[in-house]
Amino acid sequence: MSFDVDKYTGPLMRGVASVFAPGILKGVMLEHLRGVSVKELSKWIMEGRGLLDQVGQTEREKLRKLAGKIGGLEWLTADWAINAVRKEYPALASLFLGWPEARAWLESQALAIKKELS
Amino acid sequence: MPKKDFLLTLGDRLAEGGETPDVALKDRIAQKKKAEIDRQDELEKAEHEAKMAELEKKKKEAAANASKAEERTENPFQVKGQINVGNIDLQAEREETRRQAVEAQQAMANEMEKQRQEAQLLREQLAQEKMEGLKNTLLTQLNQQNQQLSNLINSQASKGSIVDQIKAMKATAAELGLVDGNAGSSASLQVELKRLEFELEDRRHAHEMEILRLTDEREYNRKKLDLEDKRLEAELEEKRKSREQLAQAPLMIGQAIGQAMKGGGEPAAPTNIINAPAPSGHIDAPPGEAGELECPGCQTTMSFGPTQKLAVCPGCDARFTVNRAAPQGPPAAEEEE
Repeated sequence: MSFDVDKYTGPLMRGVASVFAPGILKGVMLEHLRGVSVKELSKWIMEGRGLLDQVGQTEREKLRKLAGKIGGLEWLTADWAINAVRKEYPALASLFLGWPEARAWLESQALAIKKELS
Repeated sequence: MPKKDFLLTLGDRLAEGGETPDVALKDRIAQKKKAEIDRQDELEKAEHEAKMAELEKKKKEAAANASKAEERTENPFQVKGQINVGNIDLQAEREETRRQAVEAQQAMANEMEKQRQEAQLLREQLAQEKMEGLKNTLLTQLNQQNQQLSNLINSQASKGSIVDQIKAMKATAAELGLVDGNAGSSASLQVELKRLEFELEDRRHAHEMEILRLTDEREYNRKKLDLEDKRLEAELEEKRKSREQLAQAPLMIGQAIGQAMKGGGEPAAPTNIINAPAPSGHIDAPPGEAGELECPGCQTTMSFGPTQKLAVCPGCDARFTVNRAAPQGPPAAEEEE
């Protein structure tokens, strides 16, 4: 299954996409973490496995294309990510709130994503 | 004052002063009576003075005649020449003069008595006229009060107390001696009472019908407003759902993108489920194990990592120490801040 960036960010949708960028990225993140257990996420954290490592090169290219259409990512921080998953995945949010290593991992992931998409 | 002039003057006064007709009439009657009395007094005084002057004149004439007689007695005539005076009876003349004086005094006394009687008569007439005026005034006031009472009865008829008011009026009239105190003895009064009762019942019925009509109208309006409220609430709910769907749109787009990026994927390994923390506020967990548990405060699912020492609830921000000692080991560590 693949996604077509232009399908969601056509010329008429570019302005809307920039406004709805946090929501879109939240959807991406929720879908990426769907079914991920605390034990598995802990494993990712302990092993230092990045989120972007789980995305193929083609998909990353599309993500970069998408990021070019939605503007800046200053709002993408660890706190934003915790709040984004707090309601849907409270166990994962709890891990980031009480485990310093998990929070550090999340901050590094946010920086990596911003660097990748900038 | 002629009646026409009086009426014109009364009309002018009413037009200028805004007095009520009864008060103006009463004042005018009093002024008229006072002027009449003053005029009668002046006439009486003038007649009295005239008669007194006439009597004084007669008295002086009588005195002059008497003095002349005395002079004639004391001063003998000095007659020069020849004169025939006939038979002069000085004694008779004196008697005549005295008689005339007595008659004059008698006439004066009679005249005074007559004046006194006339004055008495005038006073009686004046008192009678005053009484007549007072009677007219009282009759006027009584008629006005009767009219006001009738108006009051008509205005109070719809308040349901007309029967009591009529009974009270009858009792008052009986006390005043105007009617027989035995209630119901007058057939016409009974008929009038019945008529008023019927009228009262009719009005009460109309009032009840009006209340029913207003109640129905109010109920209809209330139901109409309820329906309108429900319709508006449904519209608002529809709009809220639309807004929520619109707000969910980016999320759905993101989830679609995420699904495309993720592809398939292996099922996640289950996480150990740990029992709820002890009341002391710590969690017992094996060393190097991650776990999930339910917050005892808000029942939100919370977790801890393999090396985590402090678990935080994402729902209520409660904090629990993770005790990594073996179950048979020493007591749990102190709660971290």
